[in-house]
Amino acid sequence: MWLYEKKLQYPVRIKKPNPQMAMYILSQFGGPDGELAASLRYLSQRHHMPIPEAKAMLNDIGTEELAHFEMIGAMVHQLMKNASLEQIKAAGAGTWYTDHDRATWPGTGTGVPFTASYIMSKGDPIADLYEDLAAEQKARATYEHLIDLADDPDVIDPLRWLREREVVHFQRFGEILMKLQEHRDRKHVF
Amino acid sequence: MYDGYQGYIAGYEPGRPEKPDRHYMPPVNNLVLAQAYIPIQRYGKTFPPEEALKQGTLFPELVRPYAKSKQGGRW
Amino acid sequence: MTGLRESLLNQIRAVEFATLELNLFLNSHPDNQHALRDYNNHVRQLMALKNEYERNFGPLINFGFGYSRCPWQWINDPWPWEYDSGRGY
Repeated sequence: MWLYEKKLQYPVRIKKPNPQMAMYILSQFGGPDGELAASLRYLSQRHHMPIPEAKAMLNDIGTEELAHFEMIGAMVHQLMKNASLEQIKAAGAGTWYTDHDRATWPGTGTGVPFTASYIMSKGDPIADLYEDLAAEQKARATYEHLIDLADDPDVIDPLRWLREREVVHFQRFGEILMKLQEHRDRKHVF
Repeated sequence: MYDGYQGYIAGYEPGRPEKPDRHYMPPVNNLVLAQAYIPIQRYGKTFPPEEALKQGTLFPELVRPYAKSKQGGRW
Repeated sequence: MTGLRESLLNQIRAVEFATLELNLFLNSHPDNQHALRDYNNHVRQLMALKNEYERNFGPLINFGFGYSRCPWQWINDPWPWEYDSGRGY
């Protein structure tokens, strides 16, 4: 069961429309290393975790990723909402406008739809945790690329914040990996 | 397998009395090949809530600022 | 009213974020008493803030986790993703 809390985890307040930046940021909405992929990855893998610490961590980080998915959606929405057709055309977002107007949709800015192929749920807890550690690093790198591309401080600030969360999640998953490796060794030695 | 190890403890604060966590990073000469290790964080100083929200973490030792690159291609 | 709402939401965001961070930390350090004490202290503070928000602005969380006056306050604008030059979240 999930409940909705009517607030963003961290504020998104973008005043200037920028369809080009919206197209870039969409990758974190429905792209290969995006927040939707992260959430679905952890919420799928949690079912076969053998120790309580791992179940809780995948459940809770998977839940937090949904809050990040929401923040990215808000960013895309605010960057597109008041954009003029001239701005949209000049930004090369005319193909997006053709299919979506100014809507938010889970796919990349080049129109590649979200797919479950971006994630794996292997059934081997240690293999899955290594994927999760890699996923946090890839998302961190994506945020760094987006920060490099951005100029507006209203856009950079939430991107910077989301990037820091990837660092924290990496540490937490690392701690879980240590516990899983210990659990495996204890189980097989005795 | 890590019980009793006293290796690198991230975020350790000598002044803070605390029941030691059981799971430490093993010392380097006891590491097993072909698997990764991540140091376990110790509970030390935390930011006040407003500062934590601004930083994106409650824990000062996890802050990793990023310097925006004008050229891209940091590597 | 908008000023009070903003200010309460900002305080809730901050304290809730501290509880989230402690929750994740405790998931991998379940017997850390210092973290647990800080967690419980923040929970008390968070509940007080949420009660004050709901008394003034209606439910913050859906499905029965807050009282509403008439008319049904849950549908009130703005929603979290909405922001128009100074108005909204």
